[in-house]
Amino acid sequence: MEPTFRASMNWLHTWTGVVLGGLLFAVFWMGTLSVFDREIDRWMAPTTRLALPDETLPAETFRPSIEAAAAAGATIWTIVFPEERQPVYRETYRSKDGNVLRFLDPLTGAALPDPGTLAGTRFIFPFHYSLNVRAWDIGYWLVGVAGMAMLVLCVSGVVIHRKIFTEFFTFRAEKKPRRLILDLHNVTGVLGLPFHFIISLSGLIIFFSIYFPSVWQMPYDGKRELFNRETWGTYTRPKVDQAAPLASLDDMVAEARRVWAGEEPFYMRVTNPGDAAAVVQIGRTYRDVVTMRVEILYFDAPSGTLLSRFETLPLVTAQRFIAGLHFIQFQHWTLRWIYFVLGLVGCVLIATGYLFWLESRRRKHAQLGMRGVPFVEGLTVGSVTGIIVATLGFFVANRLLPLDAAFLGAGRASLEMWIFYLVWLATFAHAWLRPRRAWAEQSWMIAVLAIAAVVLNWITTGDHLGRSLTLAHLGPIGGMDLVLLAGALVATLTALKLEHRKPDPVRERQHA
Amino acid sequence: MLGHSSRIVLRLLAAIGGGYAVAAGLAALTAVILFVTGGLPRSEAVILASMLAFVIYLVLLLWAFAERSLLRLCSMLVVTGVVSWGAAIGLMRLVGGS
Repeated sequence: MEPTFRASMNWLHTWTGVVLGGLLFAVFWMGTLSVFDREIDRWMAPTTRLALPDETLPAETFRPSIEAAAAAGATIWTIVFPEERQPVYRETYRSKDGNVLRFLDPLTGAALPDPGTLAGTRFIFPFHYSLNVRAWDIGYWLVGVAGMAMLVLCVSGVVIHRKIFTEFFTFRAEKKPRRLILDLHNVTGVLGLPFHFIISLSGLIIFFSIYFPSVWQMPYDGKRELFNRETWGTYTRPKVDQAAPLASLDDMVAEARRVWAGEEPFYMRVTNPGDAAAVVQIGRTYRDVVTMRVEILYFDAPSGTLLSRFETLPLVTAQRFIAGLHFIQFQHWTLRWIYFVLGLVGCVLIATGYLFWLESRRRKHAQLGMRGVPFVEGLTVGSVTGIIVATLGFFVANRLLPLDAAFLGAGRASLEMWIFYLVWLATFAHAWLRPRRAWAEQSWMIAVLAIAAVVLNWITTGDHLGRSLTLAHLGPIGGMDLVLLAGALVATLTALKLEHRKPDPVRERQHA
Repeated sequence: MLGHSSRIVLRLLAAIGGGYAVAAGLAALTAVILFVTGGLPRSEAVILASMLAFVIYLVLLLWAFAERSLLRLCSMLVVTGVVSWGAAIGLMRLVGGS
């Protein structure tokens, strides 16, 4: 649309970034945290800070749970077995009285008290891919827009910066802030480019059936069950409304281990428990492979005979490999930290892109009396420091709210969530009301809240750093505390730097 | 002649909405062709085409903003869209659905 290809890409890069940067930052920030979602779970639900026993419980331990679920009218009962990153059993089913989710002690199988939090896996992680807006899949689509935008930004960014690899070595820390911001944007952009491109593309590919439904609907004539059966081997059969007892679960798990050459099951699910047509399905673990393989054994529940065994075809396996690259469910701590750091690099990339837009227009907008800069600056503050403040508010609230907290019919877990949203909203208001001080003040808030979270964790659980860094099963707690303290340090240094910045006459006038 | 801002709005609609429709049509056609000709099992054809859809959409988005003539952009999108959707639906009809 512009006279040259480069100029067109420049226009596209600028406006995609300004319009979608806030959404993109939220997705990147929550995605970065999701790398450690189960560790955040341990931190936010202290009753689950348990050591993983060497022996797993016999599957028969859960027979009473399945029978209770069947009595409550559940159609699907699921248990996820414990592993290093989640050392508890996770039991779920939908009953007539609503959804049930329980964490069970890995030693005894007894239910642990409700931690009253959505924590990492049920708030931060779903926020990353759905913004927790489930109605009509709106959240998924918005995240999809952000993902496509990131791909567009990656390609157009490379086109704009033709001298990208020489610029990678240019970092003019002593020069004007605008130059510094651009250098930081370029360095993080080049450094993270392969990761950012692949992480966005793989994220989109995970939800291909939502984003491009026509592609499966057309060849399958809209028959979802048939598609699922041929693609993932999903086995279903209708219930017959005739009661029948469940065969030995231990035998089924033993059979699964035998088929998988000794590898452990990852979860066990009973469909239509108690019915004569009930099905027990056992999924194979993928903690040692990148590919999130779909290897599921289906057993006839009353007899325990194997009904169906499925292995995905090559291209479906390739899709599961791409999904695995994104989800990083395999065990590799070094890679996990690299994902976390590259995620943060992505956050810096988006934030500096915003800052560069603001700094390049500040003078011109002030001269012309345009309102664009102050508006976008408030949006940037709320999107960048604001969501960090809100996340820390979520952690602090988690340590402050009593276990039986309830307000206006909302339980503890909902209250934590509302605190997150209210704090986030407040940071936008703060940014627009106090534009001159917003960056520095929110940096101070981050520092204070991060330290408060660490101190409150110590006071309420007794797991101070001396303890959490020496006991193996508290490693995730120590790790999270250290990251919080490092964040507090960075926020303090940023705040101090901002406080000592020479007042800029244009800036002062603009916000007057 | 359209004004500057309406041209931008039209281009945005063509790029985002039109590009999406064309990408979905081309990917669906790819899946249908691979399946109907027996090149791949149906599920494999769907997965491959679904993954390609994102790349097709990305290329269309970039092209939509690089193409200088708005008229050429819109007509190309309409033609490709109609042809890909029509061919995909037609082929499925021809083999009698699933």
